[in-house]
Amino acid sequence: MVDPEPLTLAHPDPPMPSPHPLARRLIRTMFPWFLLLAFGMVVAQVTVQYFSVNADIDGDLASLCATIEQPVADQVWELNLPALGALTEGTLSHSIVSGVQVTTSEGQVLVMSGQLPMARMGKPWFLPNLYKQASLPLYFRSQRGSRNRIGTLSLYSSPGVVWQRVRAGLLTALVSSIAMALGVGGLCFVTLRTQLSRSVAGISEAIAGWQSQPMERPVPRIQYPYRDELGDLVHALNENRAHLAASMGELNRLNRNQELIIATRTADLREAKERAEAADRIKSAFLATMSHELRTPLNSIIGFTGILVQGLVGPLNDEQKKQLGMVRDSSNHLLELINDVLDISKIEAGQLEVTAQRFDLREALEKTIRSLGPLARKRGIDLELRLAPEVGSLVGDRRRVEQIVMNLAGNAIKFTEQGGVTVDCRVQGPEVEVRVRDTGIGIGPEDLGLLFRPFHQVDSGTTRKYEGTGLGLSICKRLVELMGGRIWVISAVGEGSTFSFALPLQDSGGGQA
Amino acid sequence: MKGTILYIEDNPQNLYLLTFILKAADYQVIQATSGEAGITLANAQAPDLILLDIQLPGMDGHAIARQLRSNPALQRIPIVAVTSYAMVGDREKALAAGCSGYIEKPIDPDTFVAQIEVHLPRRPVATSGE
Repeated sequence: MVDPEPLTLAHPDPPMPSPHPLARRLIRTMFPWFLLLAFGMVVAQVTVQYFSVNADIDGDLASLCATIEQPVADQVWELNLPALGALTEGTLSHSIVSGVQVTTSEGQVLVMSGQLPMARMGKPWFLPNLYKQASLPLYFRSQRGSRNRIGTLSLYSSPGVVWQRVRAGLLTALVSSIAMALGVGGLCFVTLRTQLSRSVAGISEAIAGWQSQPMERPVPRIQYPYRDELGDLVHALNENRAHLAASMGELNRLNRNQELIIATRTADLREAKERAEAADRIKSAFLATMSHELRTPLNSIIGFTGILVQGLVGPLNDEQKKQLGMVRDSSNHLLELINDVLDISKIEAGQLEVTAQRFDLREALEKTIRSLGPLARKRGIDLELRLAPEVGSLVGDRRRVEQIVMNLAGNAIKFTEQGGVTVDCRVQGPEVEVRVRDTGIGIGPEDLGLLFRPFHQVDSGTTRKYEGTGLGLSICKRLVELMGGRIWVISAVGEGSTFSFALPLQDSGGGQA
Repeated sequence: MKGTILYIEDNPQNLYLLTFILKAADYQVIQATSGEAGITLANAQAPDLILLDIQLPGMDGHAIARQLRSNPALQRIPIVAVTSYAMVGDREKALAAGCSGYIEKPIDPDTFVAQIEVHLPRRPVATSGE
């Protein structure tokens, strides 16, 4: 018995580093969102800062205005314009002040320096006034404590001041955000690479290791220390592999069992075949022995009867001659029966063989018909042979062809009460055809199909009247078929029968039964 | 006397029958009931023809024919097999073993002598009977 090949998966290549690592894909997905978030935060931060700077500047501007209000008012009262100019110039040096204006209570501009809102210089109405302004009325305070309004002091702060302050904050926020995004992203990437990718690669490697093993063999489980999703996956893989190993083991075991059963059965079959062949040889030997053993005593009976009838031994009276003639006829009939039974036994055993030798068909037919002459004369039947001129030699078994013609013509004579039997032979295309026509009792359609079956004679009543085993026609059929030909019959009750057989002119191989 | 025929046959009835027919046809017949005896007789008496049963106890007809044919002194003697074997190939086997002719049992007393005399070329073909 051949040991079955253990079932294995095709060995895969060892795992290569993935061309698209998981970490990179995750980072690529995460990063834009992270950037967006960082940007949003920067915007919010800058907005808050903007408002806080605005408020600071408003406050500073108001307090500065209050600080210089009294000195400015004094200089306006005294109309000391140079001192007023110096005072306002000094104010302008303050970083948040971009412009100064001093007007009298009548609206006369005493000082106007630095940047002022455009309204004063004809600003279009739709542009917002982004300048911050702090204005205070200027009073002259008398010794008695009364005060008179003498003008207005206005300090202005341009939008550039706010922007300058916010810009520094914006830059800081932006840079820190980007740095943080890069830092967090890089950290994530490295972590994913080291933790996730390495774990997954380890698992892949372990599985590749499994696949080099026969599937039914248990393999070491993949080790993974954490109880996370990968842990679940590893657990499932381990369980799966163990289950697979068990299944494969079972399958292989069943396979081996199957092989064993097949081997046993094959051996049984071989034994049965040998027994059958031995039986066949015994049957074959039996047929040969029977053939010999039955014919040997018959040989003596027929032979002695023959020489007695011939008068070789001495003169016989008429009664002795008549009775010895009956012994001879019975012996010949017995011989025919034995021959038929032996033939049918050989057919049943598949041992009927025919030779394929060239012989003179004319001569064979003439001889056969001649030998049937006495029977025909005794029954008062005309027996005629018509040979077409083209009939010559044939490749086949001469003895068997004679046997067929003897059987068909003999039957025809037996079953014909009056009239004649005609045997004619002609060449029909690639075949030679022999027809045996009689004017006998004929055969009903219900019996035509059964004629060529063994052990069947047309209705059991005829067996009594016409002697024979009923084997002749089935033997004829088999013989004709062995010689590559065919046999058939056309008949109607009361109108006689025509039995025909055709044999190929070319040797079709003869062959075995 | 037309000649001497050695007949090797184990069945006493057949031996008697054929001997009777041949004697009636004016032949001298010497009998053997086994192959060994037959070969001894053939060597001793150099018959004109040997009739040989194929199925014999012990040494069978084919072996006898081969042995007779292997003896140069007996090579020219025609051997006619008489056998009840009627299987395909029996005739070929007999001829291959060295037989000159082959007659199937049961024999026909009317034509038997004529069938044998075919193998005795120097003799005129005689009709059977007295």
